This record gives sequence, structure tokens and C-alpha cells, in this order.
Amino acid sequence: MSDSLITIVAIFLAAILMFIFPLMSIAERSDDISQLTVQSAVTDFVDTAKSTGRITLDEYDKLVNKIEATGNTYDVEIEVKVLDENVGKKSAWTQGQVIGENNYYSVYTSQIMNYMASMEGEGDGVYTMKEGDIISVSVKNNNKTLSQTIRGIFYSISGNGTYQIAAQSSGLVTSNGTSR
Amino acid sequence: MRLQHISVMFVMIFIPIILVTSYFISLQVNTVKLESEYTEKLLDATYDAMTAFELNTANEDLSTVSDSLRSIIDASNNIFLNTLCTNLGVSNASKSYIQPYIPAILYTLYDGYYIYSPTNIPEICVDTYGRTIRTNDLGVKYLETVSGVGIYEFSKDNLEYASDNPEDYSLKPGLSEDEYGGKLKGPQEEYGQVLYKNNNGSFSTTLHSWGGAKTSATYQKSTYYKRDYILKSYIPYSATYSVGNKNLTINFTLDNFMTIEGKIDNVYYTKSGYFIDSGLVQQIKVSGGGVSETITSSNWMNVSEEHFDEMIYAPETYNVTVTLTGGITISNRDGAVDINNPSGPGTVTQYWDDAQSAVQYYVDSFMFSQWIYANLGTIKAEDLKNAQYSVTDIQKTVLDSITKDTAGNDIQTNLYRDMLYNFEGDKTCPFSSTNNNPESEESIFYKHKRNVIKNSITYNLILSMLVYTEESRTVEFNMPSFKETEWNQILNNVSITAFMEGMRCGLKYYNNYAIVTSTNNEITVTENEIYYVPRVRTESGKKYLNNIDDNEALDTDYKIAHRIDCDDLDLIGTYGAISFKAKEVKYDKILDNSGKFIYDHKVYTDYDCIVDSNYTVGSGTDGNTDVLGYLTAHVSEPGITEKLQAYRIAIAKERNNLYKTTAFVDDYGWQVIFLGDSVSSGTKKGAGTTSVDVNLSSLSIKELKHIKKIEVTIEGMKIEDASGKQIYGVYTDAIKASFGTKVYDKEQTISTTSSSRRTLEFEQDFSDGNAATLTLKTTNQNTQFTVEAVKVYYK
Repeated sequence: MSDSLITIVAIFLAAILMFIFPLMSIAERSDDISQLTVQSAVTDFVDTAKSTGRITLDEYDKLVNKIEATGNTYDVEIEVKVLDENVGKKSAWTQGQVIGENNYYSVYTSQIMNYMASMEGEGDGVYTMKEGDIISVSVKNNNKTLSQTIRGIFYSISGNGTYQIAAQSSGLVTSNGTSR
Repeated sequence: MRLQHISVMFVMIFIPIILVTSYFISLQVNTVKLESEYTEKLLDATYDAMTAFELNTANEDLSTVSDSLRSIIDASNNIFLNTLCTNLGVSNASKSYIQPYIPAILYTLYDGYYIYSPTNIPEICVDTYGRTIRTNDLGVKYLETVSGVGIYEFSKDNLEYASDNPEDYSLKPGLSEDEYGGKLKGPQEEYGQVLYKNNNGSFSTTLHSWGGAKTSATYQKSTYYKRDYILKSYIPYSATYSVGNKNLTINFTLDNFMTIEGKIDNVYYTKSGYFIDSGLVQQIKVSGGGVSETITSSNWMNVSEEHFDEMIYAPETYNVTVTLTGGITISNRDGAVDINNPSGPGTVTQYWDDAQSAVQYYVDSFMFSQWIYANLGTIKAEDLKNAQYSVTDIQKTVLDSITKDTAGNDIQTNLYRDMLYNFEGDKTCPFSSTNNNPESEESIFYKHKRNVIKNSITYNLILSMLVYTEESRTVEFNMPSFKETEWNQILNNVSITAFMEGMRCGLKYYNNYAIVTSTNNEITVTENEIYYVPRVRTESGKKYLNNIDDNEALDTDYKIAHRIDCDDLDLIGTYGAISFKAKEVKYDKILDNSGKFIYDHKVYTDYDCIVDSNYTVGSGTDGNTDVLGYLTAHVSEPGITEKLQAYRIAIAKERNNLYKTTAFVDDYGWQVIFLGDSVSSGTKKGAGTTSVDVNLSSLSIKELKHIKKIEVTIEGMKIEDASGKQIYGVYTDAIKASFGTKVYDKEQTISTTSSSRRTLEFEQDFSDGNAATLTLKTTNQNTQFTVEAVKVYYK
């Protein structure tokens, strides 16, 4: 009796050791790879946007395609801090043209998407920025990755902000974008 | 025991161990990951700060003026914090969240540096509307006097305003001096001063610190300092040398430009210029316009620096040719073009002003360097007298006074001391004329300058770090010691170094810094910014720059890119010797046909045009870092002389045209001899002229060739007749000045009927003789005057 119980426990442990652990480990490695892919895709996107001064639907689609190729689904949040002509600080030397002394107002993903979609003709699918604006993009997975699921078996993670793969990049726009 | 038992036992024992170990390893992995993420974010933010700096200097015409520069750096700072906050996932509104983790940001600029760091600053007493409250304002009450310092109390409720109108915030006039003395009975010398807050909320007119425990009454009455992040004052890369009769302050820059101020033998000098190798400029030759002279290192004293100025910028009359080592000549007539007929001889000539700038650079540098060899040639590195260069002094003063942080831990002052270069016993002479090419990084001058700058920056950073550590809410911040390669990065060009510390990072605290060096700004000129541009001729005879696509705007007819029109250079085939700064192409201001500048057309030259990349192709790798070294070493190869000439002209004209904040307008030394009323013209009346002999025995330098100008202050001018009666009316007289047999060409004609004080100037270069006695001679024998003082200007 005791032998067979021990055998069952041994089989159970062997199953965990031989299947679940390697699976978990592989799943986590695959998340790490996804993380790398996503990070480099986001950095590329931001670099292109800040050096050209424009966000295009093409580039956005490319970003989404690249990151979704990892097999997960993601939330992409784009924020453009637009340099306002109004200066933020009052001093004798403050000027509207100097980058860094002005106020910024933010434009978010949905506004940028709506803008790109609403333009017809020349500016179709292009959101233009100007020298001194700041663009930041943040990407998080919104599905449960394999490693999250497996971990969920052992201990549960709750809440909205639980994500495994996240990448963020931001930068100062260095040229005035054109809609063509 | 059966196998099953053993295996179950094994698993039961090892699984927990493995779990704990793997958890620990994953924590470590996360720490490293987080650390690299922070580093990346810090670097990103620093990079953005530099981008903002570069864009702002490019867009601002006055970016080299220090006040404007300060606002640009403030702005760049904002961008840094903004990006860092965004990257760390906190909104830019919460700048104050991130600030405590930034002990310092260092901005190294062309001739000095800024440090942005927390500093203790006193708080001024203000009312609700932010206006300064003074001792005599109503609402201020005198309490007591402690050690001569008045202690006051201020209550906003007791303030009286001029009217009840809430829009009108003007204060009622305060107490008059009499009322103040009667009512307040404070120290009488304290009337109307600004009040500073004390630790216990009272106020005083002076900043004072009384020791004791924090709870003690004296400490409580000491001045209250709050910590705030400010951009500290501009600190130049300067050093003070004191030895024998020399006492000088020298401001260095990132390149070989420097300014000198101080006394040598009682003569006060202000000098600025580029310090060059003693063999670089071999001779300066002037011809045309009736002038024919050759200046070399043996007779440079015979002329003053300004002597050449007008001639250089009048190429139609004078030909000023500078001969550099290696047989390179640069003339102010180089690149002259007949504007009516570019391909043939003509009558109207347009001169290329860059050639003139280049000649000016070499003439000025030559005269300046010769002066340095003659006057500073004996100064040694150990003669440095600034506190931060003497390790012993540091021991005595600053570092040892702060040995423990607030938590009672030792601050490792010894470590800091080791970071500084010890000049004591350093016998090298940085300003020597032998084996010393200041343009080379291997020279004694360069190494010395580098040590001066390193010490200055390190010392001031340490002070900032100590202030930060003193009240740091987390851990002691150890000032990192930069590696040599990092110093290269910092001192190569304008750079930003940002420190970040104390942020919780997995198993430890984050402590790191990021250095970003500018590649393109308005305030420096480096070798790497000089471009060669090949040129081709088009059928219409116009010359275009090649290899720049779609770039007719750079047509040389509009003089946008700068050009040497030297036909010999066509022999090289591939490269013409057009040279200009990279910036001018990147942030090009393009003049269109209507005469307007267009700014937003950005073009980039071919990468192969950048000077240093030019020499890697087919010539090994040695050309990559030291352009000048490569060019001079390979000067015998075909085409290199022309390239060297183009390089010399390009770097010279760019540097000559650069605005330097520390440069002096006038380069000279001066000494004043006060004579009082002791020297008057005599009472001789009768035939002949009257002369006054002024004995200048107290002059430090008596050789005439050192003197460039004299100013004589006279007063009490009058004319008497033979009987000694003063003659009134409108008369003038001419005064001649001479040193022995050397007579100044120009005489001064002045009114003799005004007795008021006036100054006469005499200016001329004499090549020999000495200046023991100055003679002033009037034409009219009846003229009388008194010599007050003589000011002698030296070259």
C-alpha cells in the first residue's frame, strides 16, 4: 500500500520535474525573447519618428506586425508631448523658441490615430510633429503569455497591471515633420 | 529503502533548496536587468538634453553669450528631467520626484563648466505677495541682539497695506530712520536691510552660523538654509600661477585658446589668443602699399599685434603672407575671384574673406605665442596656487572638515584626495617653446591643461557631492572617478555628464552616470568638424560642390560654402580644397536669390568628406584620430600638402571667427608712473623751445621695443610772457614726445588756454633704444604745464 502511494507521489513529482519545470523555463525564455523583439521594435519606431518628425500609419502597422509576430497581443500607447509656444517659466531670459523652457500638452494614441485616419489626400496616414516635441511609446502585453498561465496554476496573479512583456522608449523630436 | 523512497526523499530535500536558489538568482537577474534599464534611461535622457542643447544653440544667434547660454542650459536641464521622468514612467509634472536622485549634472563647455546640483541657499523674508520685507517695514519687530546680530520677528498680520483694495498690494511706507531707532531699538546700523530666515523662524540681516546641537538656542538662531537645485555659477577652466614677480591667472579652453591676466614685474597684462607651436609660423611677410617687412621669431618684438590688422583686411593694397612649417603659405589674397569674369582676368576683384581670417589667426597666434615664450617660459606646473591644486591644502581645509555624513558614517575623503592630480613637485614647464606643440594631445601644455581642468571639475564635483551626501535621504554617494577614456570624452568637446544615485534597484541602490559628448554645436571648433568637399566645374563655368545631392544652393557664387580657388588643387583630381565647418552644412543658412536666408533645408555632405575619414582609405588606420598628426607625418605624399593647407586655413578661419566669452578686447600690458606735481616745464623764457624731461626710472621694462603706446597726463597748461604775466586768448601749441633720440612721428596739438587735466597719446613701434627718460617738447617757449602721470602700454 505504502509502496504504491510513494510510487504515485514519485510519479507526480517526476511529472512536475520533467514536464512542468522545463515548460515553465522555456515559456519564460520565450517571453524574454519576445521582450527583446518588442523592445527593439519600439525603439526603432521611436527613433524613426523622432528623426523624421512624423508618425505614419505604415510605421505603426510595421510596429504592430513586428510585435504581434511574437504570438502575444499588445496595447500600444503613443504619447506626443507637443511643444507649446507659451513659456512655462517666468524669467528675463525665457523665450518661446528655446526647447525646454516651454509648456507641453499631450496628445495620446486615440487622438493620433483619429488624426491620421481623418486626413485625406496628401497628409493621409501621417501625424506630423515639430522640432522640440517629445514622443514616447509604451507597449505592454494584454493577453496571458504561456509562462503567465503556467504560473497561474501554482499561484494566482490578480489585477489589471499584470503584464509580462513591456517596452518603453521616448525621445526628443529633432526635425520638423512634413506631411508628404 | 527502496528506490522510490530515496527519490522522494531526494526531491523533498532538493526542491526547496532549488526553489530558494532560483528565486535568489532571479532577484539578482532582475537587479542587473533593472540596473541596465536605468542606465539606458539615464543615457537616453542625457542624450536628449544634449540634443536640446545643440538645437537651441543652432537656433539662437547669441548662443555663445554667457547669459543666453545659461538659459539654454537651464532648458536642456528641463529636457533631461522631462525625458528621465517619462522614461521612468512618472509624468513630467513630478520633476521633484526624480530630482532627489540626481546629485549633479555637469555641463562642460568651451571655456568653463556649469554644475547643476543641490545647494544650500538662505531664505529671504517675504510677504504673502512675494515682496521682500526689510527691517524698517511695519510688521517687523526687534527681539534681541546676539553676538552683534539683530534677531527680528515678522508677522504677516501686522503688515499694513496702502489701501483696502485687494488689487492694490503696495505696502505702507515703513518706519523712518528716526522712528525705527526709537521704536525698534535694534542695532543702529541695521536699517532697511533684507531679512534672512533663521532656524527657529526668526529673522536676521546677516548670514551667520553658530554651532551647537540642533536643539540648542544658538543653533536655532542661526541662518536657515534650504536645499534647492540650482545651476551654479559658471566656473572657468582657470589656474593661478604665482612665482617670483609673476602673478597670473590663466583661463584655458578645450582647444589651444587661452586668456592671461595678471602682473609680471609690476606690469599688468591682459592677453588672449591661441597658443601654437614655436615652429609653426616661420615668417610673416608684408608687401605692397609702400610697406615691405618680414617678421620672424627674432624680430617679433618690433611690431605690435594690431600692426597687421588693417593690412590683413585691405588685400587690394597689402599682401600679407604667412609662411607655415612645411612650406605652406597663406596669403590674405588667396582665393581672389574676378566677380565679372570668373574664368579670366578682370578688373574688379572680390577677395575671399576666409583667407583673411586665416591669416589673422596665424598672425595673432604667432605674436601671442612669442609673448608667452618670452614671459611665461619659466613658469612650472608646481607654481599653481589654487586651493584645489594643492593636495595638502585640501587636506587642511575642505575635505577634512566634512568627515562624517548625517548618519555618522565616514566620508572617504582620502579617496577623493587621490582623485586629484598633485602638482606639487611637478617641474615641467607647460609654456615652454621647446618640444611643445599645444595643438597636439601629446604636448606638455595639453597634458598640463588637462590636469588643471580635471582637478577643477573633480574638486567642484566633490563639493557638490558632499553637500548632497550630507543630507542624502538614502545612501552615501561616492563620487565616481572617471576613467581616462571618459575624461577624453568629457574634454574633447561640449559634453553633459549626468549622475543618478540612490534609486532602489532590486537588491541594491543604483549609482551610475552617463556622459554624452556633443558632435555639433555653435561654441567649439574641433578637427572633426572640418570637411573637404570635392568640386567639379559645370559647363556654364560655375563651380558646384560635388557629392552633395540636390544642392545648388551651395553654389559658390553665393559664397555659402567657403572655397579656395586654387587651380593647383585640380591636380589632385579627387579633392578640391574646399573646407568649411560641418555645422554650416547641417544647419545651413541658405541665401536664396532674393537675398533671404532659408534655414530649414538640411543637407549632409558625403561622409568621406569629413577630414579624419579622408585618411583611412588606403593609408592604414593611423589617420583616424589625429588628423593633424597624420597630415604632418605624410606631408611628402602627393596631395597632402594641399590638404594640409586647406586644413590649416579651415581650422584657422573657423577658430578666428568663433566668439569667445573670456577673450579680452585689448591685448596688452600697462604700468602707470605717477609723477605728481614734481615735473613741470621750466621757467625758461626766451628763445627756442621748452622741453620737460620726465624721468621714468621706476619703469619695469625699459626697452623701447616692448612699448607700444604711451599716454601722458598733463595739467595746468598756460602761456606766460617774458615778464611772467599770463597771456589769455585762444592759442594752441604742439607737443612732441621722444625717448632719447627716438621721436614719435605724430605730435599732439592742444589748446593752451585751458588749464584742465588732459591726456596725450603717442603711439609708434621702435625697434631699439630704451625708455629711461621721456622728453616732452613744446614749440612755443612760453608754454607751461605740469606732468601728472605717464601710462606705458606694453606689447
